[in-house]
Amino acid sequence: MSNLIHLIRRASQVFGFLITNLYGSVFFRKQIYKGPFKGVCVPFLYCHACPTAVFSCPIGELQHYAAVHLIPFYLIGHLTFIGLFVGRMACGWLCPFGLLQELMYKIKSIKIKIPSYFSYLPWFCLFGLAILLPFLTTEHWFSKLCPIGALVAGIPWVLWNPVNPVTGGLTIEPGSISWLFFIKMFLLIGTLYLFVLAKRPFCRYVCPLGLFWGFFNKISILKLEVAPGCRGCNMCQNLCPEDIKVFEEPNSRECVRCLECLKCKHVKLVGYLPFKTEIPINTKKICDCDAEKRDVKPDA
Amino acid sequence: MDFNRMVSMAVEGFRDNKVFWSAAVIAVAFMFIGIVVGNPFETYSNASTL
Repeated sequence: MSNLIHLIRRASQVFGFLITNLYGSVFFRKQIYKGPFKGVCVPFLYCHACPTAVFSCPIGELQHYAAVHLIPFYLIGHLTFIGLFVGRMACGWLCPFGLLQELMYKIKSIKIKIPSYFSYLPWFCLFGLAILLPFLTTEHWFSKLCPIGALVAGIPWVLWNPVNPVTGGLTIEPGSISWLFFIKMFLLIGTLYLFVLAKRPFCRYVCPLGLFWGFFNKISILKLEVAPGCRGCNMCQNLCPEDIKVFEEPNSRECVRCLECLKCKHVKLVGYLPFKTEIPINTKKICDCDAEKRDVKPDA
Repeated sequence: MDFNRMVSMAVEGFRDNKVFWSAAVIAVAFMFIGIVVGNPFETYSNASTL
């Protein structure tokens, strides 16, 4: 039962994928779903143009409102509300691309650490590509380059390309694929390759939604704490899918609250509503700190 | 833990988490304004996957 949290999280990630892709009617109607649920966004990045997508993408909505020069009150309130309760937990427990990245990282290959200065990239993605450029040009620039959109929407539509029953023509008219599509493919291939090499690189160095929710990790109801006695054995970092040194910064902006680090006996999950209390998580506690302590030679 | 102590801890927790509660009030206000102006009922078209 030591991996119970891990199994529940995997099931939750699969559920996140399934709940987003409920529109099976697309195979008969040959068009994306445009009903009322498309006004509601999922709490993770998932292209609303995916053939089977029922909900919209929060960053897609953000770009839409920037492009039409309106303030997305509901979207900001909705995302803030989620962030206040659980911080980035949706990234760790629901996002299908978090799952994809974690599975691809298991592929045996050389592993790299991406330089920390790339952590400024999400700022550019959020404020530059998802807000400022759409506001100035009325085009959805983040979506135009988003590898997730390329994978779940661009490629399926191009490969399938059904006859649109309304217009009678092909969904993707010959010649309508622009040079931007090939740039997107190039970015997608690069991103997928990075998934193999580094721990959740998209979440840490690209995702604008993760950047937004990262601010709430320090004030959300759920927080992580490191108990005294931790000697920094790095076990939490090894367990962490985001490669965070939990003992240095338990509520880091990059933490997706996957709770894998709770396997270390020094890391605790704490709830702050209605008052501070430790939330008991039944998992096997392991830690190398004690082994290191035994290895330390007494001072002469 | 007795009831009085739980209440006093909850009040203390409320005072200690002013940032959280301020942000929560703003978030609810934003959601309310959003519903009033029709944000959740607006669907958008985004043909930028190509």
